[in-house]
Amino acid sequence: MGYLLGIMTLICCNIIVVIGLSLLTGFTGIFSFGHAAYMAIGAYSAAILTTKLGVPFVLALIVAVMIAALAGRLIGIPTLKLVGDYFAIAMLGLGETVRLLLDNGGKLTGGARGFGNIPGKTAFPIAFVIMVFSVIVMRNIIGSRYGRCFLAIREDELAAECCGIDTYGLKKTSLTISAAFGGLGGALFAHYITYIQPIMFDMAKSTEIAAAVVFGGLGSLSGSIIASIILIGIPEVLRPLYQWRLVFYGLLLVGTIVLRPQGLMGGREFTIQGLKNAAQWVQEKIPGRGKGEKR
Amino acid sequence: MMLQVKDLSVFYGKIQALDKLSMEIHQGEIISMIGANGAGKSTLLKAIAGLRLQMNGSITFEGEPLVSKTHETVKRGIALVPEGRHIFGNLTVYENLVMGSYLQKDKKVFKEDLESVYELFPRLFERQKQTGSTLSGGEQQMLAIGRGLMSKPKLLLLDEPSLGLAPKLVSEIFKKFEKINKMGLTILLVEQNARQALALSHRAYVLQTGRIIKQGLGKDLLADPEVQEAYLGAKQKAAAV
Repeated sequence: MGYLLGIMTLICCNIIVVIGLSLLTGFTGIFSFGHAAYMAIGAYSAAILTTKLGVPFVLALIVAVMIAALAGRLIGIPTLKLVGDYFAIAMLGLGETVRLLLDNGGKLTGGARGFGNIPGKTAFPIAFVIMVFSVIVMRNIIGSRYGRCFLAIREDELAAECCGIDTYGLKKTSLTISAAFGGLGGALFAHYITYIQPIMFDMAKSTEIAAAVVFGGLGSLSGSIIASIILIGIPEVLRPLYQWRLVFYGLLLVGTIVLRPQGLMGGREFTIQGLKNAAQWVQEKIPGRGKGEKR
Repeated sequence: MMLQVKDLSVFYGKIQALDKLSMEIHQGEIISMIGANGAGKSTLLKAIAGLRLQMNGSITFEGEPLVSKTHETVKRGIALVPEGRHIFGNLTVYENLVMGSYLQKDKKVFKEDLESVYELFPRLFERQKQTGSTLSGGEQQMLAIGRGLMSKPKLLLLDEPSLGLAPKLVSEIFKKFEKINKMGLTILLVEQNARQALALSHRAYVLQTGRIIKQGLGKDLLADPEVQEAYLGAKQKAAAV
């Protein structure tokens, strides 16, 4: 039971990070392959605050989120003028830079040996409540005037600009919010796992986050959530297969790209009606049942 | 004077697209810019609209300099209808027009604007619930112009509105420009379709490799032998006959 709760806590942390990137990539149309950097910034800030300065957990979370958001803002100012792939590459560089900074942080970060003795404050209920809260906040952001502007930028930046939308400013806002969610996920993660090390936030982690967003379907919040659950859950379910599980993980991703290039949800949101429609579709496909057999 | 461009030079990296170009637009005019591909016509529009280009020189609108930020210029009352329409394909016609009035906070004014756009382009009213991508080329162009009008501009910048349209539609859309002008808007039109553009406009500029080589009344330029030869295909026609 403890093991299962642990996995679920990890999933909650990951969902927060993934919906953060979902806003940037799925809804604003800006690709980033360095999002683990914000997670690292959040994780290390919170860990230093609670462990070395004795700051209460909740306050540390808030400060960590603000630091991550500030980092996103500052990085956004020069890099968001870059278009398309160039921004993704800049973020890739950022991811590596942050990792190397933490690697060489001396006593403050513990360097490559890692940062231990973090109080294990992230119990499952806390992580779950914060995750649900984050999802609600994100849903409201996407449904707001800002959210519609983000979508307009994703659809056609020039057109958005011609409508009078401050695209550069809003892209910065999107990155800031996205980084804040990354920081929150990272801070929770650090206080669950109690030991962090820079290598945990390397390019592979960034790719994993980006993969979850694409896997779930760009422009779908529920898709991102479902994808996080599957992509964290599958390696655990497949644990009996030892190192083969990564092969299955890869196959799952390749299979999705081939069979469902638009991602699991393909830009739509998860609804009860949608589930009913899907169930009906499956029934029709199964021979001997449903409308498929009626002639 | 409504808009004054003075010694404007624009660069794309090392390539110079506009070379110390000066021009002016007065209230209520229809001005057209004609010229060959790569003459710098679209660049001029982009510079006026504030699409962050690398540039020197000054652009003043109603006596005050324009900042190189598109959302600011839209606020000041300049709307760009970009080349290639750039409508939101996944949104309905109505939603596209709502996007155009992004800066308009007053719902009453929005409704009036919407009605006047529908009045100008009845086709848009008929198709208001259709998504943008399902419209024909001409309707998309109407939508792009309508969206531009929704921001209540004083100056409308039109970049190649005849691009990819059937000749019949081109005349239809050009007639609308006259109507828009009569509604009190000043229009700067960039066109390859020189004959119709010159016939429509009060004044016109001829652009070649980033410089203005000729300017004058639309009618006069239409009659100018050099312009006829270079942009209206007069000589070829004579040879063909």
